[in-house]
Amino acid sequence: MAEPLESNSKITIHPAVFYRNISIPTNDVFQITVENNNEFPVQISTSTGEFTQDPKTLSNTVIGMDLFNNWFSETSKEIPANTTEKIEVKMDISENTTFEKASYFPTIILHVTAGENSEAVGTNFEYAIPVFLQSLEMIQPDLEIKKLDTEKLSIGQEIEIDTEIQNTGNTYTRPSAYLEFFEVNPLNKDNKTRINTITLNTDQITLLPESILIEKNTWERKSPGYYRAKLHVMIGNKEIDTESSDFWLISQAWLNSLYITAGILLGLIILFIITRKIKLGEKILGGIKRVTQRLFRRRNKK
Amino acid sequence: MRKTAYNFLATASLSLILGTFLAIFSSFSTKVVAQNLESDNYRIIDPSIDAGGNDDASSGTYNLLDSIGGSINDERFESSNYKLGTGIGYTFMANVPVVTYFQTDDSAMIALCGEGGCYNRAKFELDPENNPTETLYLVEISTDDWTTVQCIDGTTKEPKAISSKNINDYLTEATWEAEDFNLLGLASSTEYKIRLRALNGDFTESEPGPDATESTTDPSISFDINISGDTWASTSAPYEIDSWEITTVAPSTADDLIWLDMGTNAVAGAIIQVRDTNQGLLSSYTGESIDSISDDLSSVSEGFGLKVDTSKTLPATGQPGYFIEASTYDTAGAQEVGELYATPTIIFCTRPNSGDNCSTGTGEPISGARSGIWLKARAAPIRSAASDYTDQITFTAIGTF
Repeated sequence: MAEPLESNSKITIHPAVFYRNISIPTNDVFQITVENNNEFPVQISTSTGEFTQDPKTLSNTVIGMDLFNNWFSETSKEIPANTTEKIEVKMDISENTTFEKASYFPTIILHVTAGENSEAVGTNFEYAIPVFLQSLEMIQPDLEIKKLDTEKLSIGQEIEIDTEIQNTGNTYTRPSAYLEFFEVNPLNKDNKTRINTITLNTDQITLLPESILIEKNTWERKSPGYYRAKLHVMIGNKEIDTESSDFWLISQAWLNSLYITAGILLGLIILFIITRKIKLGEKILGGIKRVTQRLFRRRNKK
Repeated sequence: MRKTAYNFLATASLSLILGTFLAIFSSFSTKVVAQNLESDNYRIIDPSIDAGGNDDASSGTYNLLDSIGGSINDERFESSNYKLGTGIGYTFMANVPVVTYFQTDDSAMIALCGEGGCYNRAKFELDPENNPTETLYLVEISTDDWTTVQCIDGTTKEPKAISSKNINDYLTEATWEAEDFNLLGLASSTEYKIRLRALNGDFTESEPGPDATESTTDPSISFDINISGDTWASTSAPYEIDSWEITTVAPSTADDLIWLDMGTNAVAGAIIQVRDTNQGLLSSYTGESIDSISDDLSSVSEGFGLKVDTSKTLPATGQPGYFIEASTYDTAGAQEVGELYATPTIIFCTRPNSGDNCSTGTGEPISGARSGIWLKARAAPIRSAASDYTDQITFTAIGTF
């Protein structure tokens, strides 16, 4: 059993992400605050890397080192024990640069060094700070609803709604999206009443191109009925895509009373049929009896 | 004679009743006017009544607090500290609501946003001030002390221009407070002021309530390595694993573990990647290496790798997420290890549930994450003995914002 985590000598950096619009040429400075809570000094040196995003888990991962050294300066600084200091990394995109893509995803790597390794296995650690860069002249932000799934009939007082929103543009974007629920007229499928909404992407995740925001939400409603879930996807305040799905929501209690009513009706029908059959049987038996009696009478007369 | 007396009484009664009705009617229909519009000393010509009093209601020594027909005409009804509601309109207005909670980085919000608090989200709660439960509330927000006023969109929960507000931006207290975060899309390291308006029917919107102020934090990540034995201890750099005896007969384990500590408020958590300089233990003296592999060292002749000790992983309960080891290094056998590569490979991720894995689902912010990693190796009989088998392992932390 591991012991409880105590306050210990971590190094904290912030901000741990940057967003910038770039053009040719660009000069910019990234200021990173390093809090060294150790009892010893550490040496921080910087380099670059590239990051990407797993399109399904949305985890940012470092995929290469030293790929943007021509854009970012390298710097090094000693941070004394229990001290907070700022590190500056300069970005210089020269006039003779050609942007081949609308967006770039470098990382500023902060290497932490504290003393020389001399033993069998040396370990060290570093921070990768994602830098989201986009050229406003080239970007075409876009989002697409890949999935809006509900059951067509849900028994109970809630329904699960699966949604998938994909970044189909050529730059990063943080989608704003919400599900809007309506009561629907089942005959003409018109929206009758707007009921409420569920906000999506409350985690405020930034999607890289091709990444998919997958969410599962539950909508609750006590009244049985025919409803519509309408998904709105926006970039900023501009609606980019919308889709809807209609479904029946029938509560178990309502279904039970429906079963009971149907059972009673069925019972009444059966009772009616049985009664009719008994009367018919009686009529048939009566007829046979009458015919038999007549026959006996005729025979007796003879 | 008798008949004449009855007729007289009947006529008198009827006249009395009619007279009473006329008197009552005239009391309603007659205009009430001032009786003394003139006297021996003065005469008021063409009297009329304006709405709202007149300019002569004050002088240097007095001021008449005057209100006619609901109009307010005195500057002293309002100051920077108070406002006196007079007139019939105020009786219909909803009570002014008060923000009772507005936080980004108290313990409750750190439990939701992870170490460092929330940098782009916040939560507020309100006191309805005796308004009924169906009362709707609008949230106004500003970053420049109300020079620019925005409101919170009732569907996206993000700030938008106040000019574009509509009835869907007014929500009940229960609806606003149902969410963990009811303010989204905020800028990091920014001071925000919010205030509320209440609405309980047409033409009943209250004045805005008092301000509440809070600042968002910075997106941050903390990370640390310690090298210590079976029990965690804070150790100084350099972070080295001392040489241990690597035998050919059985796998051997280093005396110390590599302990990793991490915390972040990144909205989709963070991962730790590992990369290796030699992809094994390399002897400069002999030029030979014990290559890193993913296998059970008790069933192969040689290998080197990492094994996460899951019994040492914290937090035990999600704060707000769990620290999860990647399947490559979360090995089943006691001597089973995961391979080290030259390219960065995921070794830890953060997830919302303890049973999740790093291959599916999205990440979660985390506070107080910790785990220990064992180094294990086994040398083949043909391997030359040397005291300088070394390696360099680098751990990289990156957040998803």
